[in-house]
Amino acid sequence: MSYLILSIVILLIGILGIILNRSNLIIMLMCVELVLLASTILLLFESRVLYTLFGQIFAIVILTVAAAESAIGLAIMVNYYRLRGTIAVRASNLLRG
Amino acid sequence: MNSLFMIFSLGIVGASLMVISTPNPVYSVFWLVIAFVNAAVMFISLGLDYIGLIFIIVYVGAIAILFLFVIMLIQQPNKIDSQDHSHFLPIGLSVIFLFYSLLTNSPKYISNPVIGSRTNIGAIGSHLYTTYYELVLIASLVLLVAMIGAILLAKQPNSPFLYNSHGESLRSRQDLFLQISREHL
Repeated sequence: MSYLILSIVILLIGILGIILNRSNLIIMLMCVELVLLASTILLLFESRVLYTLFGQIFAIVILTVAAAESAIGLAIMVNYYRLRGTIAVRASNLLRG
Repeated sequence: MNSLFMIFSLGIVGASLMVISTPNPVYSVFWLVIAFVNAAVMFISLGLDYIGLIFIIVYVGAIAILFLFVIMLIQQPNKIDSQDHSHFLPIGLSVIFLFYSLLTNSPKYISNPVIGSRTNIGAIGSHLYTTYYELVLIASLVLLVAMIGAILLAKQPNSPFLYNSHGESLRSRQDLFLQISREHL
């Protein structure tokens, strides 16, 4: 039960960081990593309690997805900085019209 | 065991709070490293040794270093953002409440193959390459797509092609097939 609370708290901290962060897009990517950490903690907890293996295998898959996501996200961040000159979230108003 | 879990979980929660609250992104990366090391030690103390070591290798050794490299590449002007963003707090709390209600209403678990009396890495290997081989294929495809996408995104367009109105390149290029077959025309 405490693992459930821990993973929910980390997930909510990650979402709160994504919403409240206004200065840097990279911190937003770190918050996505925190959300993935929360899901991994939940899966491993379930794998440990139920004595099954699917949670651990899916944790490895989530690790892969996290690595791919951070690579793509940081490449997009570098391109965005080349395009706009800043990576502040409040400056991302290309769609404002 | 329980006090150990409390120590590590408080470490994870405090480090992740520091991740979202420090204005300097370099310190934020360091707090993220601390959170992931705490999580890895917690997994190892649970008995999931392979996952814990892989966490340290992948997250601390690869992803955090990647973040640090990009932060060094994108050197922002060194001003500290001291604006008040507390007016985003109601929408943040409402989204958190939405996610919390989604989580508490999520369906229960499904049944799965049993580990047995093997070591952790042996069980993972023997199941990952036989029962769940599709996941290995999907993970390899994800990594391939990420690699190609990152290379294509980060490629510097140092020689931008100039196109005229016909969509052809203004730069004259050597067309070997046309040159060789010209005398046979």
